[in-house]
Amino acid sequence: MSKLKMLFLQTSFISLGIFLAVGIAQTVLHFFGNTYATDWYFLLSVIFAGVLCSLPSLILYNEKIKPFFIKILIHFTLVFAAVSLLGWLFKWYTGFIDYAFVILIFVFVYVFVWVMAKWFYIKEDKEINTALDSIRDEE
Amino acid sequence: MQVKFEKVDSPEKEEAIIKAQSNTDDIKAAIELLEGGKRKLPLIKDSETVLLETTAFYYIESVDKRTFVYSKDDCFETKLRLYELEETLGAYFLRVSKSMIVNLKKIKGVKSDLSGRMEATMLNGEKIVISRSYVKEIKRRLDL
Repeated sequence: MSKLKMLFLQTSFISLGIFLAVGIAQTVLHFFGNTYATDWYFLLSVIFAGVLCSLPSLILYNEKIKPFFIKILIHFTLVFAAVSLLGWLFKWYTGFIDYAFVILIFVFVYVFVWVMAKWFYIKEDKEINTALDSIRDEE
Repeated sequence: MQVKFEKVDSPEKEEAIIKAQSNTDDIKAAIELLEGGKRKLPLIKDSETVLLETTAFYYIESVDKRTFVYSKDDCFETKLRLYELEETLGAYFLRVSKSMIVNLKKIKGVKSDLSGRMEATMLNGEKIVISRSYVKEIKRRLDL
């Protein structure tokens, strides 16, 4: 998978994850008698967030940074910083409670994206292994 | 492609001529099949030259401008460069990183980790790393 394709997939997963999380939160709030309305630019800001938050994934390709959990830590920090900045710019939060809510959604999306990526890799590995089965030499 | 078969009366007269616009992967595979995988390359082992069938190659690695060929349980050196071998070897030999060519037929299985790095386990248990940027070409070679 090329880096460009990886960035595109990450953007898609992040945007989808945010839409899902916000959608679920809005539904839950609705049934508890509260409303959470989003601004007119919310949809575009989520896609923009997807693009920006996918860029730190390039760190994962850096072979100089080891071990892997350090990469994850740097990646998590950068994405969190990007979300905090975007949240401030697009007014996703105005107070501490809102910010805590954004953090909660962020953690949900972060885990969601990794799960999706893992699922994608497992699927790809399975395809390749099945194809290799048909050409493999007998030893 | 139009295929013609012509019967001959002796093994010496047997030959196959392929006329095509370019040497595609399918043609390379056909050549490898026709040659029966009996093509041998001269390799160096303990200062001696030995001939080894290319089908015995597991992977080829370039280290410090030297090229090493790995078989099931041995390592040889060759004077050839990685790019020269890439052109010479059959369709099942594929570049998997800047410094490595692998024989797809000798891969037991592949597994990706969360960072996207793909690791291949060879039939002899050795593990090699496949760069993500080459996965697309592997899939193409495997008709995926």
